[in-house]
Amino acid sequence: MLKKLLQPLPLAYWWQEILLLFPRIISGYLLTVEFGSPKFGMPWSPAKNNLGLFEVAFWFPSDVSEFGGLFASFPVFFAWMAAFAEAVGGLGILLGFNTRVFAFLNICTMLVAIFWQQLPNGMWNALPALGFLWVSIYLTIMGGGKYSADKLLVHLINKNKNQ
Amino acid sequence: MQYFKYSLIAAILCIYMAACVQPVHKKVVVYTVKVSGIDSVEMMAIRGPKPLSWNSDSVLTTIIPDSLYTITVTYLTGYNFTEAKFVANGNFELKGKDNRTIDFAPNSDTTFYNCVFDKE
Repeated sequence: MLKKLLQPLPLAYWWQEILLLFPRIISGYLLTVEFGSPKFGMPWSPAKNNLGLFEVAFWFPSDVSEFGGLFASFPVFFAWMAAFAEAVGGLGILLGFNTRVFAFLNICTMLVAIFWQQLPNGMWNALPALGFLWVSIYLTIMGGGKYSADKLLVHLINKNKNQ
Repeated sequence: MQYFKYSLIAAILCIYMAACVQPVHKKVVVYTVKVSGIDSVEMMAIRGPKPLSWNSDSVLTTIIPDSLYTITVTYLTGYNFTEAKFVANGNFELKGKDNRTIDFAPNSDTTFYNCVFDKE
């Protein structure tokens, strides 16, 4: 089960692997550094934001509760999960570690961001979240690719089995 | 038994997450803005994050007409700073430039911020 989750789908040529590496690395970097760390405590969160490790920013649960329905019932849970998906998930995507799990978490996060937060303010506002959504969809299907921590882990699992 | 185990893990996770929200503190900022170069200031206002708004004005009190204005804002925040921009007669200051960053006084709940309109 774990191996299935980690094993990237193989591509025919090395240049395809390289080409698909770019959106993975850039998206992972942007998610963890630019979007995730200001609202979720990571070692690289801006010092002025005063966030402890794995703390979600004070304003985020109240923003999430404004979406109404289930979000208003469990704002801390949804805020923490969304911030975690971006900050920690972004790092996972950047490294290609547990890519499918983190990409799936980001699909959920981006769908909420698009439909509950950004689209009511116009299509242009939804574009960044849409970009991350497309990348997360292909990563959920393809996995981390040949140049990822997942590929290395699968290699180690196979090696241990054969010993 | 299995169900109990998963419920317990979920409950612990929920408590952990609830505890992982950044604590907020009350921070008071007294803004004093000096104006020069504008003949008639009909309204001096400030915009910023809650309890202010980026979309609507919070009007400052006049100390000296066309010259000196003030407002006291109480923030409930976890950050060590806030941001703001001033608006005179409906026109934003520092057009095309970053918002003002106001660092809270480290050893006091009240910060006094003095500045000149449209000057960094």
